[in-house]
Amino acid sequence: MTQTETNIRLSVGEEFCKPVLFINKVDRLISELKLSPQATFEKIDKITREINDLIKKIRPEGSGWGVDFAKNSVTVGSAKHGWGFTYEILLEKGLKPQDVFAKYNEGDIQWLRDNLPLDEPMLRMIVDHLPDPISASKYRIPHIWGGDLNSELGQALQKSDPNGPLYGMITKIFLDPKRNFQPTLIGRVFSGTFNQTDSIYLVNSDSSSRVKRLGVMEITDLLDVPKIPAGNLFAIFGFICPSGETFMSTNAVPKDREERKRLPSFEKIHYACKAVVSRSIKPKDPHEIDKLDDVVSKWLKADPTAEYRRDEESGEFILSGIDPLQIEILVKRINKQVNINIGEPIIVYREKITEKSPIYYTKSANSHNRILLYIEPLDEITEHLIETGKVNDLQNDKDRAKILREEAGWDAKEARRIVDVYQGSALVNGTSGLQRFDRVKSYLSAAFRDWLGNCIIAKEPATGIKVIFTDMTIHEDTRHTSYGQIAGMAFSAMSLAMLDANPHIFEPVQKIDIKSPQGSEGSVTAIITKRRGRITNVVPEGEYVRIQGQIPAAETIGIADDIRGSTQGRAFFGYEFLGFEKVPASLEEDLIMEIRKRKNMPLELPSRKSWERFIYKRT
Amino acid sequence: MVKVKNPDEIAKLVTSGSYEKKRIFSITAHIDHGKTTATDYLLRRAGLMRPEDAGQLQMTDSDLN
Ligand SMILES: Nc1nc2c(ncn2[C@@H]2O[C@H](COP(=O)(O)OP(=O)(O)O)[C@@H](O)[C@H]2O)c(=O)[nH]1
Ligand SMILES: [Mg+2]
Repeated sequence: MTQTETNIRLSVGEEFCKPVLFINKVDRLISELKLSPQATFEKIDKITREINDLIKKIRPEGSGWGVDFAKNSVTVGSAKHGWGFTYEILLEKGLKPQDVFAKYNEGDIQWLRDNLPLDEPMLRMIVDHLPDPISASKYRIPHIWGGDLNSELGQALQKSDPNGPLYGMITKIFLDPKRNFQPTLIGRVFSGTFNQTDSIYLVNSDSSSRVKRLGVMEITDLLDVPKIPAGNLFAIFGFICPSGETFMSTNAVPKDREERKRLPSFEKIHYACKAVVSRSIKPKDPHEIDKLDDVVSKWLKADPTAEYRRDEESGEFILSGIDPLQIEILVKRINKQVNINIGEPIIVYREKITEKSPIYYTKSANSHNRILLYIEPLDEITEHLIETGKVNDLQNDKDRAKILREEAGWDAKEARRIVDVYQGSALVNGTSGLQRFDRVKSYLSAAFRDWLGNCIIAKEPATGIKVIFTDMTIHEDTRHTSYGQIAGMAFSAMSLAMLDANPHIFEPVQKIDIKSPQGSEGSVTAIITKRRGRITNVVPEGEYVRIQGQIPAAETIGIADDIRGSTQGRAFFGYEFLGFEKVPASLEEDLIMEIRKRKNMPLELPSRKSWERFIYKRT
Repeated sequence: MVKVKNPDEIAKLVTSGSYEKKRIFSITAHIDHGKTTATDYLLRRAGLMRPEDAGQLQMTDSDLN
């Protein structure tokens, strides 16, 4: 249920979508697990309860959002065989659950398909329990939109007013193999009416685009509709943008760039976009490099959880993402359009600290500038807020401080002194005011980011670090305060501090959920524990045994084949990113050397001698 | 529910100002829990496939893997 749970958290918790429940594959409870009607209903009750517990946790104020078989907001059925029912449908037909069981035992699936067709309960749940677009906008807009609710636009959005200013969101990008992977954009109009002839402005990309065709999607075909009023989904051809984009009419866009930057947009969907695994890709024909660039950027717009960059040192293109399986699928898709050489999957580790460092005082190479700083582990809540972009560098100080205060318990004063946030880390000005600071501020941020990007243990990214500078001396002559000078002193102070903050390599860990056929659970468990995995739960489920646990991502490479082999291909399994954990001490040094070797770095642990000459000694 | 393969009727529904009968919904669940299979029945109801094909056709599976 791991993925189902995450999806409910996102849709009900963050997007404020009201749920109804369809419990599927009930045929298997009856014919495979041979549960009695009584036991089947107990199982269905248990599932409903678990779902409701989750809903209550994420939407405690929304009473009435739970699902209930007695209130017809739960369908029970089998999509494979095409039947399903809600409570009222059974009553109307004068049927009892036992009748359904009886038909199964007689093998009369056609009767079930004819008498309890699945579309009926699904459609009824949708119509009777889900809101129409106008009712939904009223309560959803205040949560999913970042602007002023009392403005003209704010009012129109809450009413889903087709006569308001044009405003909406692109929610999904679909690259159609039948149309040579040309993009189809799916979106929703939340205010105003979208006309075929409109030019639209993309708020986050700060660019305008023309629409070639406007309409609605029917499976994979676009049916032209010249006008789409608020409260409808639409599809367009003509351009591409990242999914999650907010759009409005180009005519309503301010000329001034600063003013445009302040335009409100829909809350970004907070993907935890973490690089956990990466693969290098290169076109087989070097002339196809531009084409590869194009193809990859298109796929990434459709799938914003992956990242793509050119590695400066090796000149390779690196595709990375949170899910090894997802990267594998992405690489296959890209390979269908451009022939590429594909590297082996590489795990991306994190460099983290576990203690507060002493204060370090360093100077720039020209001795004209000095900085005094220490570092300490950032709390996990703040780290998460930064990683999901909820706290970011583009916010104004006040808004950012408010979130940090309310959600992560920051001190009000300190929360307003943030100079930069990046990669789950924060740079804080701990002084009470500095002369000429504005002049070096951007240099300091750039140094902070570079340092985090390739940190000191093995040039892996560092996360969860709070850097606090408590004093700085900046030379008055700009000739002495170049980026190199400022970055040099900051780099050495942060690096020295890191060595003294008990730094370690952390590895990505996956949650794993396997359904193994009974009898094979022993060998499946062995496969996991042999690969440094930990089993947390083993429960028999009829002829299957459900095995749950966790395993380092590095150890999952090739695990699918092993599990398939020891279960004759009869196991189901899924995994999901869980978090980062410290690499066991016995493996850490070897791992560091292995990464350093791959990156052509000196095969030794980092030490003070690299930065000692920058230490400022009072004379 | 509007029968599809009928662009005029769809355009009429989309542009009509009466919202009581409109619903925007999505289906979400773990991979392989049956989203695509179940969706076939809603499409059948909309007239997009023969009754006996629902559950087999997996009409919204666009993936080319
Ligand atoms: N036994 C059984 N199998 C089902 C049922 N619904 C779907 N399946 C099977 O589960 C697999 C995945 O279904 P699919 O609709 O592709 O799942 P999706 O990944 O959620 O879209 C297919 O092999 C279906 O035939 C059901 O009610 N009972
Ligand atoms: Mg599917």
